[in-house]
Amino acid sequence: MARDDEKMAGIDRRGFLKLTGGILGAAGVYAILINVKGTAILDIASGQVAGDYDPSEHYWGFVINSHNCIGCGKCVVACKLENRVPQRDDCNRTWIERYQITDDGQVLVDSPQSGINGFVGKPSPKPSGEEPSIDKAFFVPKLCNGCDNSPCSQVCPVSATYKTKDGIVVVDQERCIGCGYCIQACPYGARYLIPHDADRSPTGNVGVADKCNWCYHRITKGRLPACVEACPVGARVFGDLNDPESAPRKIMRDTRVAVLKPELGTKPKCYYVGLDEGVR
Amino acid sequence: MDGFAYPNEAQIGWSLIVVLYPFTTGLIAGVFIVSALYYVFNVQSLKPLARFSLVTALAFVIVAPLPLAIHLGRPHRALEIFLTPHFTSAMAMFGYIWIFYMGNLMIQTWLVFRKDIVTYALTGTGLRRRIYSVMALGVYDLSAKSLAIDRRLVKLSGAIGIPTAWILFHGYSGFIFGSVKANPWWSTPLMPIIFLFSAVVSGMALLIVLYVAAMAVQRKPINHDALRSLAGWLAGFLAVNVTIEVLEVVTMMYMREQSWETIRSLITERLATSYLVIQLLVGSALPLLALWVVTLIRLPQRTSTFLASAAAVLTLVGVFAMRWNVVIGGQILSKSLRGFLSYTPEITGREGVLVALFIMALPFELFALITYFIPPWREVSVQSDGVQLELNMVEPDFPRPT
Amino acid sequence: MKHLTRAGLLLGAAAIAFVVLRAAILQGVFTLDEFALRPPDRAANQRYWMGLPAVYAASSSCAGAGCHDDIYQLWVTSAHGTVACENCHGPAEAHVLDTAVRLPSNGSAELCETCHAQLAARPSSFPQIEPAQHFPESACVSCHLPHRPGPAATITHAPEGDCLQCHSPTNARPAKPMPINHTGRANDQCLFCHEGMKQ
Repeated sequence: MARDDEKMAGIDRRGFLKLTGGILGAAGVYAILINVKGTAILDIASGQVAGDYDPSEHYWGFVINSHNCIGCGKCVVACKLENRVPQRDDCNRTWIERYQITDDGQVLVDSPQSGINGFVGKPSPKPSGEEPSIDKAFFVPKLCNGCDNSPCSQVCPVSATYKTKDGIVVVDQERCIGCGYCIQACPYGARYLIPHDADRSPTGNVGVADKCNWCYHRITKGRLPACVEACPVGARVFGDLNDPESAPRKIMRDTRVAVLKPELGTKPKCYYVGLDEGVR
Repeated sequence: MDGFAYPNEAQIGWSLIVVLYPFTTGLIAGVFIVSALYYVFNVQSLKPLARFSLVTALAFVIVAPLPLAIHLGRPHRALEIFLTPHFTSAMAMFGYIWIFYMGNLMIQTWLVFRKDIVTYALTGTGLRRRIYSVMALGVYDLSAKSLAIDRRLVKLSGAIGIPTAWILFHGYSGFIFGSVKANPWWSTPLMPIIFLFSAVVSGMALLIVLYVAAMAVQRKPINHDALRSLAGWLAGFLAVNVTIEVLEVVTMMYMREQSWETIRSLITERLATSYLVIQLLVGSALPLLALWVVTLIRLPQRTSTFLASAAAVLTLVGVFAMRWNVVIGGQILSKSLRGFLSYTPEITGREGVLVALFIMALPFELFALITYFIPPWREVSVQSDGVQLELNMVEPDFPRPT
Repeated sequence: MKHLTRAGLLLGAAAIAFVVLRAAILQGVFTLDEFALRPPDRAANQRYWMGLPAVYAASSSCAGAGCHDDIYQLWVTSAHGTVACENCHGPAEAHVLDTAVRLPSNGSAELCETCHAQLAARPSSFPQIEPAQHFPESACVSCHLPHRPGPAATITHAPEGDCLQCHSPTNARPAKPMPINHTGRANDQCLFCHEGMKQ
C-alpha cells in the first residue's frame, strides 16, 4: 500500500524533505561561513611558517649611512645577481643616487644605470649646457624602505603583497595579477613590474610586481642581505630592531637619523644618516 | 627622462588602455544617471531618452572589465578579485561591485522592456518567438497589476543603481587615484568628486551624440524638448565639473607646497596641449558656451541640435583628455619631484592604439546588437480590459491613433 | 507575480552557485590552478621566499683551513679588510658548495677605478686618485697588492745590488720577505716602487 511504501525506509516523505532541507540548509550556512571567513585565511599565525625560524621574534631594520657611500655600485651588482633581478635599467631592487649641489644652489641628481657600474666616467647632468660648478656632492643608496605602514600592501587588490611578522613586505608572485597599483602607491619608487621579456626573474614569474625584500632568504638564516655584504665602506647596516645592541640600534642611539618622506606617514624602517635637505 | 626620476619610474605601468577604464565607467555612470532622473526622480522632460540610456549603459557595462583585463601583467589570474579581494584596496571593489551593478542594470532593463519582450514573443514566430520567450522567462503576464509592480521595482532598482553606479562603480576609480599619497598630481580628496561630475558630463554627452546619430540612422524624428532638456542638465553638470577641476589646481597654486614647482611645470609644459587646450578650453569652456546658448536661447531646431551635438562631441573629447591627463600625467611626473618621463602609446601591441579603438568600438557594437532585440525607440503600449490584450506598437512623439 | 518568482529563482540559483563554488575553492575542494583559483596560503609563500638559494657567500666563508686562509689573514687586517672578496671575485656560494666551480680574478684598472677614481661626491677622506695622472701606464696591482693594498714600504737602507739576495723567501737568512704578489717580478722593478716613487 502507498502508505507502507512511503514508510519503507523508516522515514516518510515529509521527514525526507525535512532531512534534505536541513542538510542543504546546514551546507548553505557552512558555505556562507567559508565565504565570509574568506580572506581571514590569509593571516599567518607565528610559528606556522617554517622550521626553527620564528618571524615574530625579530623585527628587521636598515640603517643607510650616506656619509660613507662612495657610489661604487657593488651593492647593485650583488643584489641583481643574488636575487635574479632582470638586468634592465628600469628593474631595480636597489640603486644609488648621486646628489650634486651647485654653487648657486641647484640640486642635480642622477643615477646612471642605477649606479650598477659606478659613477666613474658618468658625466654630471648639465641643465644649463655647461659643466656645473659643484659646491657639495654625495651619494644616497636607495632600496625598499620596509614601511611599517606600507602603502603598497594597503592597495594590493588581491592581497598578494603582505607584511610578515618580522617586518618585511613581500610579494606573493604566484598570486600577483600585475595590476601595477602597488608600484604607483610606493612613494619611494622601490617597486617595479617584471617585464614579459625579462632575461631572468626572482621566482620565474613575469608580468608581476617585484621589490627588494631585504634578502629575506638570507636574513632568515642568520646571514646579511647581499648589498650589506657587498658594501666596502659600511654604508649599509642591517639588523634586528628588537635587539638594543644590534648594529642599527647602536647607530640610531649614537647619532641622528631620519627617514625619507616622513610626512607621508609610511613609517619606514630604513633609517638614513646624513640625509640632506634636497634628498627625496 | 628629463631631469631625474627614480630608475624604476621609467616603466609607465598604466597605459592608454588603463585611461579607457575610468572613461568607460564614467560613461556608464553618466548615462545611467539620465535614466535615473526619469525613473527615480520623474523628470518628465527626459522620458523619451530614458529607455535609450538604459540600453546604452547596459552595452557599456558588459565591456567595462575588458580594458582592465587586457592591461594586467597576469590576466588569467584576474578571477582572484572575486576570491581574495583585499578590503583596504579601492581597486578590489571592482569585482563585486561590477557584478552587482551589472545585475541590477540587467534586472532594471528587463523590467522596463518586459512588455516589449512579451509582445514580441507573442507576435513573433519560429526562432524569434523562442528567443523572446526565453527572455521573458516563459511568463506572458502583462496585466495592469504586474506592470504596476514592474514599475515600482524599476524605481527601486534605479534608486539602488544611483549610488552603485555613481559612487561605487565610478567614484571608487576616482578614489583609486585620489588616495595615492605618493603622487602629488593624484592625491586629493576632490578626486572622486571630480571623477563623478566628469562622469555624468561624459555620459550625458554620449547620450546626446548617440541619440542624434541613432535617430539620424533610423531616419526618425528627434524629440527636441528632450534634447534641450538634456543639454541643460549637461550644461549644469559641466559648469560644476569645470569649477571643481579648476579649484583643485588653483588651490595647489595658492598653497605652493613642495610639489607645486613640478606640477606647474607639468601643467604648463608637459600637459600644456592636453590639459590647457583640450581639456579646459576645447573640452569644457567651448561646449559650456554652446550649451548655454542652446538652453537659454530659442534657436531653430536644426541649429540647436547641431550646437548640442557639437558641444557633446567636444565634451567627450574633453573628458577623455581629463582621464588621460590624470592617468598619464601622474605617471610622467617623477615622485622625486625632480623630473619627467615621457609616454607615447604604441600603435600595435597589447596596450596600443589599435587595441584601444577595438575596445571602444565594442560597446557600440553591443548597443547595435541589444537594440536589434529590444529597440528603445519602439515603445509597446498595453491595454487590457481584463478579457483581451490589445497590443499597439507606437512610435514615440507621434500621437496615438484614436 | 510569476515572472518575478522565476527571475528571483534564477538569481537565487546563481547566487547559491557562486557561494558554493567560492567556498569549494577556498577549501581546496575544487581548484583551477591556471586561473590562480586555489586556497590562498601565505605561510607557504613565506616559506618559499625563505627557501630561495643564496648566490653570494660572505667573506668569512673564504677563511678556514683547507680554504683560502693565508690570503684571508693577509686581507682581513688590511685597508681592504671591509671589501668583500666577492666584490672582485664574483659570487662565491657556488664555489663554497662545490670547489670545482672556479671564480674569476679581476685585476683590471677599471675595477679599481670604480672605487678609487676621484669623484666630487666621494667623501674627501676616502682614498681617491685621478687615473690619468696616477701612473696610467702601469697596472694598479703592480704596486698595490689587492689583498693588502697601501703604498709600497719605504726602504730604510740604501739599495745595494740584487734585492733578492736578502729578500727572497727561499733565502737562508731571510730579511723582510716579499708579499705573495711579488713573486715572478723582475729584480729591477723593485726600486720602481720602493725608492721614493710614491704619490
